Amino acid sequence: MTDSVISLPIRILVLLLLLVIVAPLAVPMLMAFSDTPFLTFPPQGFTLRWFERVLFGPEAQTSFLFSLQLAFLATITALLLGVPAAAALVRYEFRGRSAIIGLMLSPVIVPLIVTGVALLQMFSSLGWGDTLTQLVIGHAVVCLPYVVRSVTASFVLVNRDLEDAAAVMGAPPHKVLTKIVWPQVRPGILAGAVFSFVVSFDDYPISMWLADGRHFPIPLYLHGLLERSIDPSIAAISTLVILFALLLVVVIEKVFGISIARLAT
Amino acid sequence: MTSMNRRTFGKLALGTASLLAAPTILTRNAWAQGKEIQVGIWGGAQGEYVRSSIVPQFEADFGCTVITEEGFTLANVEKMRATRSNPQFSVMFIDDVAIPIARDEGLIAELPLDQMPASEMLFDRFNFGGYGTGLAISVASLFHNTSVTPPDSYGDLWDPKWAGKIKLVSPKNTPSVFFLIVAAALKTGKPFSEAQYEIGNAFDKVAELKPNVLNIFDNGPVAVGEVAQGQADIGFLELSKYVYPYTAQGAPVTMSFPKEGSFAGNNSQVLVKDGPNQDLAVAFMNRMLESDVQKAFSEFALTAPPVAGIEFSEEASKYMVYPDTAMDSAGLFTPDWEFVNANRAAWTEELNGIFSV
Repeated sequence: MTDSVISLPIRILVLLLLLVIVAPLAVPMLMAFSDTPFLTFPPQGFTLRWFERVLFGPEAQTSFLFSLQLAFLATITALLLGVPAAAALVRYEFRGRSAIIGLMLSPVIVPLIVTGVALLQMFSSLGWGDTLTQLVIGHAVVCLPYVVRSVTASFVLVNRDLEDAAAVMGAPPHKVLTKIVWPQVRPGILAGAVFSFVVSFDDYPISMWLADGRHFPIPLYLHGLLERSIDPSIAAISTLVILFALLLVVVIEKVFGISIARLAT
Repeated sequence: MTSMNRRTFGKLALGTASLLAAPTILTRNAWAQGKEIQVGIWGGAQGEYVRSSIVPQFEADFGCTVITEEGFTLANVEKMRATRSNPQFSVMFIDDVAIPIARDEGLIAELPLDQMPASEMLFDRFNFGGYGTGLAISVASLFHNTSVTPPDSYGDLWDPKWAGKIKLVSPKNTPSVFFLIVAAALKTGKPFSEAQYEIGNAFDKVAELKPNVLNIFDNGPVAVGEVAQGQADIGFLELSKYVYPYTAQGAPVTMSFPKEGSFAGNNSQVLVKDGPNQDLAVAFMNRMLESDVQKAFSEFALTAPPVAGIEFSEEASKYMVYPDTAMDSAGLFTPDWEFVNANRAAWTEELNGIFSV
């Protein structure tokens, strides 16, 4: 559909909807510039010192970098488990297939706070003391459904005739995989990876149970800041997180050449 | 040259004193070298101070490692439950409300107070049956925007002139129990100590407040900020540790203390039963009670210490009720938590029924 066929009322409606969605994000972004020692809206005065405090504060930096590391590891783990699982679920009929699908998607259904305490109990019973490993496993568990769903959808849409044709023409299996299958499932895998990364990066309920002082993801840091901080630092760090999410979208579009609209579908 | 604020001074004083004593301490504490404990602390300003000042100094003095994990009372109790078969925590910070629960479930151990010399200065009221000690005492009462004249009595808040101007604490938060005791006291005309046992008959009084309630809050600092911004006139009610940091920074919000009295919010520490390195855990708990630590901790978080014999500056004293005689004069009341815990689920259900949309 081109711009010329979108009517004016629809354009206005879309604009209003976008405003409703974006307006709540604008509030903390504006508060972050307030030159008062406490949060206030509308902002009073103008300062960048809250951004300076957050950007150069070692705790915020450490938590932010740790969250990036954790989200990366959890995403890799979820992809390693989720992509083969999705392929198998689409291409093979076997006993217990429905149960496995249900099991893999269960973290989306069960409240995460319950999943978190159950994981803590399990790790404690097993005597696993390594916090990073616990967190990566915990996050991978909640990321897995997003990978499986999006990759499954891609595999369903793969044209099997092309694979057969390539094989008949003498292409070895690894060539079929890289030249025929991969281009078709790549958007789904990337979409799963993006969702997985964002879910892990934003996660609070799992981290609340499994994190400790040395492994302290940014959502926990933000929550703690909200409890103790009365100045606009919290608004500044919220602004940075919003900008980071926008940057992520731009990178995906520009570097990988995949639009967010396509990821969403 | 920049001015030194009270928090910086507190950290500096604690650090300097410890540095001077370092060689002696390291020899004396050789038994703790290389040991590690995990401590469940609170979030907020208190957690920040424990993490950034008390723990590093303790680690330096004992040559040990202390891993802190921020949480809140109910989550910390749940963590003890979840790890009961193989305890990971050695010390846990919880509010006094949860001590009877943790004790009855066998999650915590009786304290070896004879190995905690700093406990000699502990006020009796903050030795919770030998299963925990107080760490920081806040006052729970009303908070209001400074442009508003607060009521002299809690009963005035039921007046229609406060319609839609009150933020009420959520049933999820401990101060909601204080609110119920206030309602029962107003209905029965009895003091808090007797009224707490008649909460079950006071929900009609609770319901009468509904027209005056703007909304329910479950995050104290956020609610205090909203009252400071004038979104509501008064908050009913919250702990001073969440209010006074705003007041001290010049925000237009402060606390008031109605004639019926106020409540004590007792942040406490407990020893996890069968937790790793119990000797080091006890040493850490002792450290938390030492006078110089308590003085700096209290001045940072604007709470009162549970131990006697600490002198505070006039500025810090404005924000705390100390010592124990002052707590008595202020009418600070601590509920019968065993009775409260036995009934709280039913009360929460009643409150949810009244204030749900």
